[in-house]
Amino acid sequence: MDTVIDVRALSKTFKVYHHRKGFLGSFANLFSRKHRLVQAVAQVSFTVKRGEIVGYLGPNGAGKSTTLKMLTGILVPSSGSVTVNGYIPHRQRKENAKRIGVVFGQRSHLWFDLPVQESFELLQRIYRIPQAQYHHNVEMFDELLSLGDFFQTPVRQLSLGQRMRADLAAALLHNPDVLFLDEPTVGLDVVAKARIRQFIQQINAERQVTVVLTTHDLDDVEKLCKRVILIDDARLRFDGELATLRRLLSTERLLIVDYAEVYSDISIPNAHMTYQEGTRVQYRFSPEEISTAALIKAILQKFKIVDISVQEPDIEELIKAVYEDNLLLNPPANFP
Amino acid sequence: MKPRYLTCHVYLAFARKSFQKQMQYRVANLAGLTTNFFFLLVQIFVYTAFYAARPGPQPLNLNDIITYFVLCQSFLMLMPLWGTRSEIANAIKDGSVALQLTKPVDFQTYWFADELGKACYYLLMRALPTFLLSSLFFKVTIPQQPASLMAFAVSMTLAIFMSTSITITVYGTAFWTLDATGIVGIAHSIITFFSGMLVPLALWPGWLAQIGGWLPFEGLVNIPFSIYLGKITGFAILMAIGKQLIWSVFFCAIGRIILNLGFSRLVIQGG
Amino acid sequence: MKSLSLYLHFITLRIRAQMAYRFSFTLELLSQASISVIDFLMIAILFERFKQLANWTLWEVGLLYGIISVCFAVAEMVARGFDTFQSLVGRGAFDNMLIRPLGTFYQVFAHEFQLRRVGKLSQALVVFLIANSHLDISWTLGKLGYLFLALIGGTCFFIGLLVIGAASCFWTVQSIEIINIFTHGGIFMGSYPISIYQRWFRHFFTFIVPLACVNYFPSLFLLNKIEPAGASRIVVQFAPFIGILFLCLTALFWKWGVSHYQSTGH
Repeated sequence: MDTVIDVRALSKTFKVYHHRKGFLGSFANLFSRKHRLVQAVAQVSFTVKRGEIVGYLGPNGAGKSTTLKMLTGILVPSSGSVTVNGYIPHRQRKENAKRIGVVFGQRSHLWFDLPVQESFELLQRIYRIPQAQYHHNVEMFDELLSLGDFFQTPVRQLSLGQRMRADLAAALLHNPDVLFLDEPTVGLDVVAKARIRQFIQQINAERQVTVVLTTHDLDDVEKLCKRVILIDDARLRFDGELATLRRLLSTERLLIVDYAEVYSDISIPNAHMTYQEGTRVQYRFSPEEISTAALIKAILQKFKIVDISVQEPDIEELIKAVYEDNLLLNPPANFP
Repeated sequence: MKPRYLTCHVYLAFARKSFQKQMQYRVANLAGLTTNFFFLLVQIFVYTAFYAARPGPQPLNLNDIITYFVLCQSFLMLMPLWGTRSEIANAIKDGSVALQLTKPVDFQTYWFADELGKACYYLLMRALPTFLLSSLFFKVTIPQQPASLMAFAVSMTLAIFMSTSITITVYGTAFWTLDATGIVGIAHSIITFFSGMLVPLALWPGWLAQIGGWLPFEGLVNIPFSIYLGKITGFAILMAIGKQLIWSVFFCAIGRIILNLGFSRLVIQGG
Repeated sequence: MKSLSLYLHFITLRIRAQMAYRFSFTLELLSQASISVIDFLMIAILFERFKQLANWTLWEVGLLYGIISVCFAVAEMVARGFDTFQSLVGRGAFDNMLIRPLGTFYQVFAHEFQLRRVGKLSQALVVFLIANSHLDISWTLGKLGYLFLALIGGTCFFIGLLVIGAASCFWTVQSIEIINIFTHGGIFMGSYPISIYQRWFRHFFTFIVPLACVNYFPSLFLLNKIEPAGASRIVVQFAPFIGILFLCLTALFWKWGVSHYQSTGH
């Protein structure tokens, strides 16, 4: 599989101006302004291969959108290099634009006053999409996203979910190789989210479209991304499979036991009881201290049980752990 | 019922808030100040050239003209529709003004307070600096009699009052038009012209000056500045101020009618 | 050719959107006309009283006024996108332009077309035609060609000013409103022969911001007028090209500005 996106030591610093206060201050602002530099992205490197779906995650202000804007040619990097499909986005912006699709969840890239259909026709002319391809795509996206319900409605009258469907379809009309999605499910209800996710999966599977998405919704990540890249405070913290991240971080697990009756002393060596309600008890344990099998064996020896289950912590907690504990500053095996 | 002074207090608070809001646009104000000064410079060049082309007595001499236009540029932002469009005007446009009905205050007075807060800002941050700066560069006359200065103060206050009522009335039409831009533009040019801001009425041809005299708008610029220049004196001052007063009350009433009609329309249509 | 037809498509859509509210549109058209009518009325009143201005008659000044107003009206009509560029950036609409396979300069042009400026434009044309009927200009093919070029050059000049104002948004959030001095102030100032101004002022608007090339030099040429404050024949003849050159320079400035674009919200 070939490399589609190649990012090396990418950095972006912004100048943030300090505004003097007062009437004279504002006069002085016109001539000289103090500024400080804010590092939005620092020394980030990664590559993405054709057909991958990569989740680009991080807390607010971590530099996700800034990275995406450099990949799409909106911003010029301060240092480092980027190529997408072999193009340097900020230098070969137009060539790059022909082969990428972009959706910003926060705002539409369609024309506000125009009905969806006219927006699409305008895009057909902008990207010079052949008639046959255009019709084929519109038909296919209509089938998957039911665009027909609102094809004649001006974009500004669409609901958030409809708008996102229209934006997604619009970004794919010209058969891009890469799709950049910035918070594609933000603000949507559960049904709409599921629909968007299904569509992304389908497009990825059928057309080999490479997808890079930023999100706050960890369901998105679990449903869509095999691979995740974590950034925090402008720096790359982890790059690898979601399962690896989970394994690396799963130092603790949960054991939930439904006992057959209420026992007075249910303490087990090497496991902390964290919760009890009637006959249901939850223990926390570390597999390094005691294996799951040994733990279950210990319980079965002492008590009668109805049911037992082992749970891994969800990724929301995993990611929180990365941010809070500064874990994986230099992730060993999975760093590219 | 609440005591009267408490009600006053509420509107004062609105005015203060609007004053403070204007403070945010300092850079824009500075740019505006520069623009004022530029226009003033051009006006003075132009009139100097005109006066040089035709020597002989005129109703206003060149010094009067310079002072007149210094006053015009100083008080420009206090004239109807010249200042920044208030949030209330925008709220009428997008319909969110219906929320104002929930406030236990009189809407017109509330809007008035908001506009007056803005007026105070322009008086302090625009009129005063423009006037002082211009006095440094040009020969600006200052009335010798305290009485005419007093009369000017009264007349100018009425002009600002009238300007505010006109502004509210014109933006009030946004209840009917989708976007008030067109009406505002038309009203703006008619008012600006007939106020005497472009050419003092004294220099107009007789027939046009007569039409100007019948209209209310000379009360905004021509009357107060003529009083300042000592071109209106004695009993005529009282007449002129009386005229301003009558037209101010007139525009207040028209504004009230328009806003009331607008709100009832809003209620019927459900916003 | 394709980009021209796409441009026409863009502005057709914009015009249709503006015409959707016929009543508002008519009012705006009238408003545009009334604003410029009072501008010329002011000049006419002054001439009525003073008869002439530094050896210029009312209709000669009408020619000056007509040319500069036509240029500015057209500039504002076609380059409205640059005029409101600050809000375009604020809404993130410029980000959307950057992800399209089209030039940014082209897209900002295509972004808006303000048809209501026709109100101002037609008033300016009327003044120009009336002025012409009172003046004794012997129109030759050369003079017509010159006029055409002068109108193009003047329009380019004003578009260039709007581009500078827009490009300043790449560095400062608050667009330099000073540019209004040169656009609206420029119209006001340029409605009178530049010879009436003081030397420093005249030089500023000839060499630094070449407003004199928009209407003053062209009017001298069309009227066969020679003025002490004027310039040599050759400068007058080449004046129309200055505006075009100016626009080209501002386009370069624009390009440089785009590379400094910081986007919003990071």
